[in-house]
Amino acid sequence: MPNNDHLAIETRSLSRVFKKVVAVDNLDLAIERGEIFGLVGPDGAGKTTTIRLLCAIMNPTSGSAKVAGFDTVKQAEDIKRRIGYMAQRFNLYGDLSVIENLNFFADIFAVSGEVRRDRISQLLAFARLTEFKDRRATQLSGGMQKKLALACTLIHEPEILFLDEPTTGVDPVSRREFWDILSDLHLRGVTLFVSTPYMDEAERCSRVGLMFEGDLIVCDEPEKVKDLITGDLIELRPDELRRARDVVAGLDGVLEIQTYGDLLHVFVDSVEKRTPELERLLEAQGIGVTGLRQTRPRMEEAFISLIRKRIAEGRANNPVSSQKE
Amino acid sequence: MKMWHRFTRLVVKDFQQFLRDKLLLTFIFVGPTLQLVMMGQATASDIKHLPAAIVDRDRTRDSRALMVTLDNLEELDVTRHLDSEEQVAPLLDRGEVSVAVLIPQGFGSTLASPAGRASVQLWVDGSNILGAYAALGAAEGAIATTGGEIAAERRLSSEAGGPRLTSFDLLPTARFNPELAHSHYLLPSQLSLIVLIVTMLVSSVGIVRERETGTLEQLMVTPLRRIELILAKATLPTLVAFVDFLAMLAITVWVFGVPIRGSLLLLMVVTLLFIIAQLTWGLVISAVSATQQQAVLLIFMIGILSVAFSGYLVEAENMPVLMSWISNLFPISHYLSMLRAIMLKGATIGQIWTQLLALLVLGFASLALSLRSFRKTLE
Amino acid sequence: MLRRIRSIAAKEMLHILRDGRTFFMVFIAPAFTLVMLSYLFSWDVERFTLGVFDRDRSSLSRSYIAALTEDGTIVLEEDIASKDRVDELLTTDRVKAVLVVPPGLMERVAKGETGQIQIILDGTTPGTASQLLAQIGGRTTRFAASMSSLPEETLAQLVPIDTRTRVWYNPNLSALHSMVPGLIAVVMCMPAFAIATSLTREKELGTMEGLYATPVGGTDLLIGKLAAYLSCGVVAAVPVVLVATMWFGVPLRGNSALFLLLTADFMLGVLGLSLFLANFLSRQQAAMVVMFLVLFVPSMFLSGLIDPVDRTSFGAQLQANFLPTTHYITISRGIFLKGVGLTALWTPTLALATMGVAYLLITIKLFKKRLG
Repeated sequence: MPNNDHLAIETRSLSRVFKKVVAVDNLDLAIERGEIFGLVGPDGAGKTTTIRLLCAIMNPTSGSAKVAGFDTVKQAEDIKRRIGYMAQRFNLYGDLSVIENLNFFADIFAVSGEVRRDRISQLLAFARLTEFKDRRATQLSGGMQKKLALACTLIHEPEILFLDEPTTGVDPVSRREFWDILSDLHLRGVTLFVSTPYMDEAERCSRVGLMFEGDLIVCDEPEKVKDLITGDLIELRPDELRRARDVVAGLDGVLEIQTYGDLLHVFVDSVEKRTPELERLLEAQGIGVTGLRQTRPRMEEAFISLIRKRIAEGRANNPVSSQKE
Repeated sequence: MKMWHRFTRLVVKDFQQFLRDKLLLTFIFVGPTLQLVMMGQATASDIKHLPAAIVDRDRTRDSRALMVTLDNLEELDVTRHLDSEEQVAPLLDRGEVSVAVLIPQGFGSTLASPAGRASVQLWVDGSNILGAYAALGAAEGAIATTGGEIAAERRLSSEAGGPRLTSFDLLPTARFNPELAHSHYLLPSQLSLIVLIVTMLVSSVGIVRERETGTLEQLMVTPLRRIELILAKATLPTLVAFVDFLAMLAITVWVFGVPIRGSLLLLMVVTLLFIIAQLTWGLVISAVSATQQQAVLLIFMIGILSVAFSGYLVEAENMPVLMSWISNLFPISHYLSMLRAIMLKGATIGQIWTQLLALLVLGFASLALSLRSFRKTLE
Repeated sequence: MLRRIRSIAAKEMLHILRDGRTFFMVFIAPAFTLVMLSYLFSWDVERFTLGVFDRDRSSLSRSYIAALTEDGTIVLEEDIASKDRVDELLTTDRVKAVLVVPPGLMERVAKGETGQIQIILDGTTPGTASQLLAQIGGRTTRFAASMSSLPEETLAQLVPIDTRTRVWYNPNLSALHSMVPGLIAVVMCMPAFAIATSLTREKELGTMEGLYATPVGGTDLLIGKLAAYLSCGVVAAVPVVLVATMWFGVPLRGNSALFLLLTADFMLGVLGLSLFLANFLSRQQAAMVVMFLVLFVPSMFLSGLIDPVDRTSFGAQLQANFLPTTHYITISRGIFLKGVGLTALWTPTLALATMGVAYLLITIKLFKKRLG
């Protein structure tokens, strides 16, 4: 492969098969240095496997990948020195205190002396764990544990950081704080590769990739992804939710209906055409409606719609994407 | 009718889960089989071919004849012929020989004279007593035989009607186990231990796993009654342990030839009672264990305790009083006693009723205890 | 690299000290298990129950029986009146043997014939049976000798060869003294259980996965873990030795410092073996089961603990020699009972060291910093 120095992560037809399951299917990725890349997808989509392949802790069954310019199979150790990996399951030592965990990882990465002391105090401040530094890791709250885990991956100032669902199971406030930290890292030029099930987090990335059954369906800036949705969203608040839903489902041009609490989100092929039709239908049925308006589809809708499309098309070979060239 | 349906459904589900747990299955069937085989092998061979050293400072026909007699023994293997007794100590220290026979100078000439009494020394390594007993027994026996032959020769050559030594001949027979085969003794012990462990393992691990994964809570909000749940949970371990017992029994009897002289039916009934009594311990363990690892550890410890107190190798009567008293609290002590009695001695129910009673009493007591602790965990 | 090993060893030490379960298994379980198991093997029988069916009822038979039961080791449980009773007593375990004295014994002996006495032993417990037989045999011989008051020369004529026995290292042939040092070797396998569980737990929890993505190598990890458990193992040996000497009264004739040093050697061997086995396993439960079947059970039955290892069977020799416990038993009995030093024990010492290093090196070679 030609040496693209500006690429932090590069893959060519990267694949990994487990017995009969294709976990990652011919993945082509090109992540620039300094990007925050978000990998989104349902459970079993292949996100964790992808990250493991990129961190050089799993071998692909075919294809290749380069991280920080090094091949993941042949030059694994060179990669491991330059990256940080926060696995989905815990990689903290519960019996050890916060400071002991940090010291341990510092030892592993051969960070010592003055440099170590400075970095550790910075990281503690960064993660707001300074006052908890002597507490055992198991006695920290979920959010703090994740921040500690993150801090441990940063002790050696890696160029690239891989995070596998880092905020799962964490309360919203801590999640926000966590992403503030990631944001900060991004501004400092660290490349971030994050997998997440949370759509709002996907919106905070420079680019976002949707994975489904091992395939990368979409890979683009968040806004552009939303633009891909063929269809518009009508939001309304009907008096009788259930009946309204059943009624609207029968209308032509309705791609999808979702309930959001008391609201109905209706995906239609064309707002101009269908809005009046919709209003008429509901009126005819005697269902009162308030707050009818057109809104932008959210990331979630975009993804769900794309996945549905993919399922409907069967396994088409071309991922819908527009690479950054 | 409803109750019966719910009940069977639970048992079937438990059974399916059990069959899917490859690890547990392996341990329950392969583990004990391996143990039985290993034990059977280890004790099948009586102690033979113990290395021996001979220091012959006589070097006459008689001394050499003695050497040959000793070497011909199955139990001994003369590996070293030494010149002096100083050479013996390092060999014993290193454990290279188990016994040394020292034949003094003048052995042959002493024996040649009609009133000569020769002395032979036996130095045996006492650090392994079974080896020591075997070596001593064999060597002393061989020497006594040689002595007897010489005595006979002398009697023939002396006048007839000489003085006689009062002698008694002991004619031992071993009832129930004519060859005094160790396997007949150890294998039933092993069998009882296997039933013990399997019962506790299956009964506690299943429940603990359900508690870990949270499905136990779910069961509690169903219309299932407490007693039904407990009974259902007890069915699987009983079945599994009993089947395991039958399988291991088959191996013990058909492969190792241990007899069942008593009633097989009685044996099975007694085993079932033991399983049920032991099951309750499994329930208690599941009540106090938060994780499967803890349960397994507890079972392991209890297993060792039970074995120690059960008369596995040492009779209860020979333990210090306190210990033999404690041994009565373990169901396995009584079960093992009954197992041996039925299998090897052909005992009838009338002859084992004390142990049976003890088992029943223990069973009820621990049943009550386990029910209470189990109920607590469900709350 | 040395720094990484040190740091991993330090981390493991903290784990061992702070995690209750591991702490128990490494420091407390060995001594505790030793106490339990030692009682299992203290089969020095002090009291035998005997039933006597005396069909002669002569003064001879009565003095014979008195001689047998004189010092209290053999206890006359019942003076049996009828034949049926014999079976009943043996079956219900009331007696360990029944002595049957034939009618007319006294007359026969007076005539100079050999008296024949039948002993029916309970064969279900062969160990006890053989001991009882030996006891009865010894007393019978002494009784016979006391009956015939013969001059020394005549005695010499009739029993030409006299054996003088000297039992080395364990003069009373005490089962306890013999077994406890051997059992020490068995219980000191516990740290091996702990290390195997620890390795597999890391794989289960996912902390191992995190380490794979760092520059830490198999060498660092394995040697670090081994170092930690080895040191703790040696410390754990101290309470074990104290239990053996103070609780059970087993003599320690050799050098205790040497024993601790050789314990470290054993730890190298047994921990190496554990790491080797744990390398192939990914679940804690599997580790416990495998360690139990491969280490604990063979250590009890194939290592020379109870029966000496059969020197003519290649299979038995092979199994015994690859098991670290076998060599440690030799060392333990050597230092406790025989009072020997390194000169007599260099073979097992070397075997353990070689084995440990070999297992460790192979495991390091096989160690993969990859999943799947």
